[in-house]
Amino acid sequence: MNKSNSNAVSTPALANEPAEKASRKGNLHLIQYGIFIIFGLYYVIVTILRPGFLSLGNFYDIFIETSIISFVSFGEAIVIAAGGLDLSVGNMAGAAAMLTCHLMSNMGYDIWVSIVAGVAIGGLIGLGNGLMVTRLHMNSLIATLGTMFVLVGFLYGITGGVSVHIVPENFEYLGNGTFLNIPIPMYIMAVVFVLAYLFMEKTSYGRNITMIGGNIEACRLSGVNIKKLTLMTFVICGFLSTFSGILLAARQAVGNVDLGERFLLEGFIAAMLGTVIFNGKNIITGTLLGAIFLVSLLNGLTLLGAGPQWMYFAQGALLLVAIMANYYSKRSMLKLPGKK
Amino acid sequence: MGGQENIVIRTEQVSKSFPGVRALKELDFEVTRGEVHALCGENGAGKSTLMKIIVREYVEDEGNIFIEGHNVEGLGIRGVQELGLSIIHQELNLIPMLTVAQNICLGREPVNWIGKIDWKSMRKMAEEFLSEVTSEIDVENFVENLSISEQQLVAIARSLVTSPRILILDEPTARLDQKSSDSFFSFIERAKQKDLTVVYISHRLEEIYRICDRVTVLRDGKKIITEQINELPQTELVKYMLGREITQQVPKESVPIGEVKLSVKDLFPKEKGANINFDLKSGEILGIVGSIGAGKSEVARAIFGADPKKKGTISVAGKEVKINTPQDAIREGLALIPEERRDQGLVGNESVRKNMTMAALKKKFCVGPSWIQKDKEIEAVETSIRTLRIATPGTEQEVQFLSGGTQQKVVVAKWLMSDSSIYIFDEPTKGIDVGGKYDIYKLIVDLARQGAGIIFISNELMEVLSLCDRVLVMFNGQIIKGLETVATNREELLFYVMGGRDYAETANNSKGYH
Ligand SMILES: Nc1ncnc2c1ncn2[C@@H]1O[C@H](COP(=O)(O)OP(=O)(O)OP(=O)(O)O)[C@@H](O)[C@H]1O
Ligand SMILES: [Mg+2]
Repeated sequence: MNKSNSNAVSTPALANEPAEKASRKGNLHLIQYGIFIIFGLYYVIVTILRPGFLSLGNFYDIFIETSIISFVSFGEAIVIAAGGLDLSVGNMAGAAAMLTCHLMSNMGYDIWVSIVAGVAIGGLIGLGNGLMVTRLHMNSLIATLGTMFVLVGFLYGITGGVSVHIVPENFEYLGNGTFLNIPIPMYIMAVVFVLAYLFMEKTSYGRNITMIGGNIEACRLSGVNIKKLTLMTFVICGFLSTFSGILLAARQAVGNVDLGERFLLEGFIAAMLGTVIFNGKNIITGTLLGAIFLVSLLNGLTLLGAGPQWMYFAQGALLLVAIMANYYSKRSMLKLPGKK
Repeated sequence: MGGQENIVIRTEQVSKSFPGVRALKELDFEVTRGEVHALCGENGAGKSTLMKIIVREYVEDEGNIFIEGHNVEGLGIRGVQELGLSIIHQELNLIPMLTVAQNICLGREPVNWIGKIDWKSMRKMAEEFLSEVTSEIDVENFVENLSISEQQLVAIARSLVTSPRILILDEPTARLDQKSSDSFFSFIERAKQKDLTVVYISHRLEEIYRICDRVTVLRDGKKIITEQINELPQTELVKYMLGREITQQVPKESVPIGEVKLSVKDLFPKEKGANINFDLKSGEILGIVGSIGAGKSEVARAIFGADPKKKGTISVAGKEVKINTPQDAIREGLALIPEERRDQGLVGNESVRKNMTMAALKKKFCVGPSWIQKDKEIEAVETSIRTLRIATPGTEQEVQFLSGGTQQKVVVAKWLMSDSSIYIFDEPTKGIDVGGKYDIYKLIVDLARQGAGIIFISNELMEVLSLCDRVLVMFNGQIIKGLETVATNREELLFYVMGGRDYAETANNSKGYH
């Protein structure tokens, strides 16, 4: 930049090709800071147009929504950290929610028994996903795509496709109640966030999960138990997805078959953002930020009166930005062949 | 300044910084036409950075660069290629899933009149360039099936595709075995006759004295000296590089040799090859040498469980053990320092700390089942950084930003932390500077003194002769000879490496291989 201007001959025909490496790194930072800048600007604009955006009530809305999608996002982020992808998160959430609702409203089981059953089914499905990937050596994308459709069948099977109106009042409290003026889902999110953060950053499991995503062969040769850890990521993801599903059902006070569908896209966006925000480090905190960004984006659009087409458009665009940023940060890793 | 037009590369006051590192400081560097110019310096001195700036992969912060008199400001990678410059990188950049021919012609594939790739002429083109350096690789073979040494030859061939007049070679021989090195050097000789200019980076001093005309020494990003090579004795050169003198003695002292530690019986690493049998005693350093395809790394990987083996039994301290995965091997106290640092040893986008503690994380750095103790990690990593003189701004630097040799040191450090009892080093000093090599030899001897058994695989025969107690020579997947190092010499080893049968007899009828 502060290069002295030189008067030597420069062949014009050869000029003007930027140095590849430098610009690539530049792009990465541009995208990272760009995410913050764009959202900053967006908040300013929305606030000017709709001052209600900054109200306490709206903040609660944003944070409750964030809580609900945060679980599935953490789960997806952990799977992505180890180099996999889970497409069945939405349907796992849906299956857990429907099962829970069905057990307590139609069958009259105790709330807690129903919830435990719902969470357990998520863990089991996650285990199935993990086994397909680690034992049958299936690509995680394909394996979880299969699971996704199997689960659609399961969802319709439980109630014959009929929505379940929730009977017990206590259950709704999970989604809509407050304690000390703070919504219950936020407490749950706080606890899960701390646990997930500690797991990923402070334990050898989390450390090795991230290392696997960086270079699986180096990890294998260093004695890291790849199968066990990969399996673990899918099980955790299964568990966490059910939290999102059950809480959403509680909040809506109704369980319907397509309840979980939105979580695939939302969880994926938040997790992808989370992976780039701190350049692949500290993904749990990153994912929480990603979830807040996503929810506030949609919230702002709603306030502005945008229709569903704009919602999808915005989510798609955000996802592309996150994927692009991921791509650039991967390219700068030395494990990939860099240049032509 | 009589021969201005004879100066093909000139840098003026070039500086370059990375976050936390000043890689180059006001560097002046000149290369004249037709010479082979060596660039020397410790790991992290700035050699590769300077070359990457010259070929425009990095942009300098300050200074000017001229190639054939043209200021390269504003030129890109292709631009300097058209000025006749070509580089062979320190790290391999081939695409494993493609064939040799596809790799060599990448981006310059010959096409027929409808724009479809013309496979036949591509094959011919690849063969033509490859024949400059070797005649033993099939261009239709996939790169992933080649040995590391062969891959390096392919990379060299690829750099010739642009018909360069200036060739920059960043440690080309670090990955080559004896035989490939020889064909590589004859390529350099021919190139010199064709008036090619070569910038040659290497940590192997014999090579520099063998093929270079002048040498420039860098230290900490500064130029120390440029000198005619035959006016600079080797000890002086080393002093310029390190800024200190080293006693160029491998610190080998007689370490008492104990019981059998590792015993390998009837091992068939792959489908091909014969059975491998040998014992390794505690305190012993056992060298394994051999050329491309001799199967040294295959044996190492089979013992360690990195590749499935066809059959064979392995006993540790007299007890037969089952090793099917690296995890099993580590549990039995084995360590393998792998051949290729970037693909097999490091997680590039993670820190020096996390990479170094990876193999011993649970064993040494966790309390309870898995809670990481970060201060303990940092302490251990800082100690390693000091003892191995690892050129990094700190424990948290991502390893992808370290220089090649420094990365190699991180891999070695990782396994030195593992407290194993049997170490298999597969070319551990590849790319490591003169001073660093001695640090590593010292550490290996220390391990032996503490009773570990050590297998040391290397292509540098001198290194093996001075460090090891015993050497096994492999040829074509077989151990063809076991020798005590005190009772042999370089010529004899080389003779067997090339597949010779009976040295004593052949030596009598004057030399001649096979
Ligand atoms: N992309 C980068 N980002 C940050 N630091 C870098 C980068 N590339 C090089 N460095 C730093 O610059 C210094 C010089 O590195 P360079 O690769 O030029 O060393 P070298 O002389 O080639 O060493 P070696 O003999 O190990 O190959 C080192 O301290 C290295 O850590
Ligand atoms: Mg280098």
